[in-house]
Amino acid sequence: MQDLLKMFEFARKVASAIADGLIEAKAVKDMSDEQLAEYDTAVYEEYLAEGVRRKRLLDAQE
Amino acid sequence: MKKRIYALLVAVAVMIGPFAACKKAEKTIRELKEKTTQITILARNLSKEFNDGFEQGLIDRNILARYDTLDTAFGKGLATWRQGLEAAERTAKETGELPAGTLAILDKALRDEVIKPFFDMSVDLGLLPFAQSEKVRSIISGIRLLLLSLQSTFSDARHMVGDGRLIYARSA
Repeated sequence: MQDLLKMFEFARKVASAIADGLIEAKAVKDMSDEQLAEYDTAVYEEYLAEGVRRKRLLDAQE
Repeated sequence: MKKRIYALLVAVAVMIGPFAACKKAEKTIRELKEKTTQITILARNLSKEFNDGFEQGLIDRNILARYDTLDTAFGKGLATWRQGLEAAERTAKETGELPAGTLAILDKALRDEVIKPFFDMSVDLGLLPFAQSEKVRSIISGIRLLLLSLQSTFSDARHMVGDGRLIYARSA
């Protein structure tokens, strides 16, 4: 039962994150070229940082 | 009279044509950049949720490791695509053109490096127990639609160009 609740909670969080992302993605259309370039760089660096964090989490568990 | 009107229309088309093409090339690059950013936003958010979920004990190591394999493949493709798009934009700004050959290379990179890995990832994610809810499945479908939309932007550009090129306005 606990495992099921955990799964549902995780599913909810993923869905929420994707929904937030879609809202954020819409705002991109209103940005100037310069704003878009800066924002894109920042988002991409955050994406890469999450990848680094994930590797560290996996390595810590080995 | 008819000949004069016809000649006038041809002259206007010749004058406006390059400007219209400039706008189309700029618009195409801009759309591709917007959609690339939108995909990156979603990929960042997904990665963050998996990391947070693992730290909070909501998912186990096997699921995080599976996601790591999928996202690593997708990340490599995304990097290749981003580099290709930047190079194409630089070339277009320097030369004032976006040749059909460049569009073809970018199109292939988009399909092979971004769309296919992300579709593979979304299929695998869809099989995980957590993704069995209608809401998550419909959102994963939303991501696929975003990718198809990106692909369609390309198809429009390539269809318009044919064997020619998109003219790109030089910066002032």
